Amino acid sequence: MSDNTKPQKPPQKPESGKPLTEERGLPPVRETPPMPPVKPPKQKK
Amino acid sequence: MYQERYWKEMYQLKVHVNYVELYLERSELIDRCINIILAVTSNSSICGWAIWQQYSFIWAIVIAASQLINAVRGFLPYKSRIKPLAGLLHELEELMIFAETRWFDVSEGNLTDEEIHKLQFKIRSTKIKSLNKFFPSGTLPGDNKKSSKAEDIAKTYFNNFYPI
Repeated sequence: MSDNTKPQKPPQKPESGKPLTEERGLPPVRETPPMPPVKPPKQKK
Repeated sequence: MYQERYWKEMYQLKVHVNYVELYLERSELIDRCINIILAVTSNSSICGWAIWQQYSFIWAIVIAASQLINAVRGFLPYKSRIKPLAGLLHELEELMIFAETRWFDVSEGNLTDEEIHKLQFKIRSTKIKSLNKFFPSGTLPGDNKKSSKAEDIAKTYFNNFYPI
């Protein structure tokens, strides 16, 4: 029985080493402050 | 999870608003300095000051520098960035007001996960459209100092208006 699983390719990294962002020219955010307490989202009927 | 992602999207948008604002301020400052230097060096009454007879070498260097600046001025990016940065800033600020207005519904449980998810990506796609509109053929060069300052300003804003 042959093994059909192929090794997964590692995620593509840009050559510069900087994180990818689709918002070109705008910097990625390092750290987001914690979200204040919120009510649970409405349940779908 | 979707509320958390919306929160992060909103925070990131605020950082980007601040970043663009800092970029605009810097570009305006550099452009103003260049204009002042060129205005001073082209003013004949300043050129005629007696002090330059004593320091003619210094004045010659200043004149040479101003002529060089005048020659390359059209190729410097600062002046050409001001208008698109101002336009981008206005649109991002309006988008931020929209995002904060809708945060009420997101945080009060008035929306389903799907609605929150769609809202998050509406904000993101609007931001990208604004970027493409004002900077269609290029990007802003990265600036770590401005990025760091933009995050600090955003953090202060969110601590004030969204305390835990």
